[in-house]
Amino acid sequence: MDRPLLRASPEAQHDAAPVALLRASGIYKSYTAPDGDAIDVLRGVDLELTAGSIVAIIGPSGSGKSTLLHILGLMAGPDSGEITLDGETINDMPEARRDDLRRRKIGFLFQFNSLIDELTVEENLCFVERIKSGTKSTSVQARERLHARARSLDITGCLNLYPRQLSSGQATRANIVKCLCGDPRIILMDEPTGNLDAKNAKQVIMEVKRIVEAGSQRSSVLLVTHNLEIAAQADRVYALDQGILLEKRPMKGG
Amino acid sequence: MNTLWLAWKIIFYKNNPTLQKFSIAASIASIAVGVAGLLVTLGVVNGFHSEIKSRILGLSPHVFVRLSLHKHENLAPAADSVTRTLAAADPQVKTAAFAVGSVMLRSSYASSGLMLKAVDAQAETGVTGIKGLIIKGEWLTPTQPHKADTAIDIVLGKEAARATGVSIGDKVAIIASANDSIAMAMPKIETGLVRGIFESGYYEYDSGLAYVDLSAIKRIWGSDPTDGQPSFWIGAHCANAEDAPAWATTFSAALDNEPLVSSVMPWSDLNKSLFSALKLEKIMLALVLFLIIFIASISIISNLLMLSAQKTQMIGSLRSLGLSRADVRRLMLSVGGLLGAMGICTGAALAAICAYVIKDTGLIALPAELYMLERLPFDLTLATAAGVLAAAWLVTLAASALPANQTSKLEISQILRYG
Repeated sequence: MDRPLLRASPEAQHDAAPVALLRASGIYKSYTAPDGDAIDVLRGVDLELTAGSIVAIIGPSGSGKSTLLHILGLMAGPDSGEITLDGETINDMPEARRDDLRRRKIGFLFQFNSLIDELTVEENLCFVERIKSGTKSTSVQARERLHARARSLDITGCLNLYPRQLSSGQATRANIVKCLCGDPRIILMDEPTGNLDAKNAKQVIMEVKRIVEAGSQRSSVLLVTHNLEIAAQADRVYALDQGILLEKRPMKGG
Repeated sequence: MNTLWLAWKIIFYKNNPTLQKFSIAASIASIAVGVAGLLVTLGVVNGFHSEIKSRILGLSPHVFVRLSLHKHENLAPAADSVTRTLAAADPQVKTAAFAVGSVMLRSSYASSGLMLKAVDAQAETGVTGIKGLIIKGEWLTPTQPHKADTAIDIVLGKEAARATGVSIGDKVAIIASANDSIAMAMPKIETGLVRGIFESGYYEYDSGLAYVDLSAIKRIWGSDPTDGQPSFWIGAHCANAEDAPAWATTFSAALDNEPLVSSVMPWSDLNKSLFSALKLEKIMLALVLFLIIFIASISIISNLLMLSAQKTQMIGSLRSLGLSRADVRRLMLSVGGLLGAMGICTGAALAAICAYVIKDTGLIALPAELYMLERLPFDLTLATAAGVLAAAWLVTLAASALPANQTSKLEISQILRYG
């Protein structure tokens, strides 16, 4: 049975140990349609991401998954509701501070290939690493870390290629390495395996889990997917339908 | 630094569409043409200005003191008095008295009207550079006696000599109006002997000026001046020609009590209309060419707007990485600034080539009777060139600011939602 969430992680509330990295409470968001009508995209969404957890959100197209990701990624503001990141309330934060938080703490994986066309894969990854670290050059350690991740996702041979020369699977894996640059505490993935076959998709998501678990930051992953097999890899799975977030259980064990 | 690097990569991406490459090249080329045009034009106009100035100064004192004399004999004592006063005001000043009037010069072949300057041959060489400009024959000898039965030594400009067909040693008739001729309508005619020919490079002087010794003044114009012919002057040479207006003011104040002094003026006032015209021409040409650079900068606007439309997803992705609106603005400004800088550098290189052709090869000849100079001049200081380049770059940056600002205003979520 699905049930609406007042607090998306009631277990987390009962268990005091997990620390909430990102908490969204009562998020409402609506858009104005071309005919002037308001469309409620999110209706009172509550969600909590704890350190080291992987949470999946599934839902049909147009259910508001991407909007929720943008709000949680500090790229759009909710109409109402509160978001806290590492204990800081985001709502009234100046844009420059939100940009800085996003730079330091959040990694994104988009549905589209977000590598810059004019840079090789390695230049892309080093560029993102420099942005995330706020430095003007890529350190040797950062470069080694990037190469290690490229090896683990099997894109070492693509590092000197331009994005247009990659297959869709290679592009997805390169984007995953990009999303992990700077060791973000919160990783938001929008259809991370949309361009991969089932075997590769599972391998990639296992690799993401391994990287997250091996990282010193105890990052959290929130992924939006249509793929139930991928969703089953998450610690917790929610369904977003008509702007309402529902927890689905049991999903674990896929 | 990262944004500049990214801007460079975006502009020079080898797989950019051909249309985009063409558009970028057109932007760079149009700015280059505007900058080169502006630099070359300023160089040529400045060249005209400084070349004409130096040629005028080759034969002109820095400050002119005009005397009101009714008798030629009064010139020497008046000159002594004025010279003493000027020397008291500026111990470095060099002075020379002269009289100037219009005459007709007639040879066996042709006639030519010109200004005849009767000078103290010795003192004149300390005030003007005439002696160094003699190309044939020699300068006047100061002690040359001018008895009534001997020819008057005369030094002519090169063009005047050519127009009258005379050379060194030839005799010419010097015809002037004078009040002691039998009837006022009859001119006074004296014989002149061509002693030297000078070339100043300034057509007005070379074709219309001749020198005789001051001792010949009575023989040419009679005992007293008639209708301002000739007029009497003291020429003064200061340490720096650029300071002439200030010295003229100082001298004018010092000579306030000299009853024979009617006016004091710097050399620049005597050529005011010429230099005003050159200055106005320079300003107008600079304005027109700057407008060309401005219009060329509009192509940068269109390039940036095209880039902004093509790269919305990239911009959204960059913002999601944590780049601020200011970073996005900086990126777009970097693209515009780089395009501008490349156009400006190309323009500067083109201008340097033009400057070399104009200045060092002297390939471009001018009709001297129209332009006063035989070759197209070029004079551009580094400071002027740097000012033009900096101003042009600021214009391109200003042009880039609008699309950069528009792009930075894009909302990330809207970009990522609608691309």
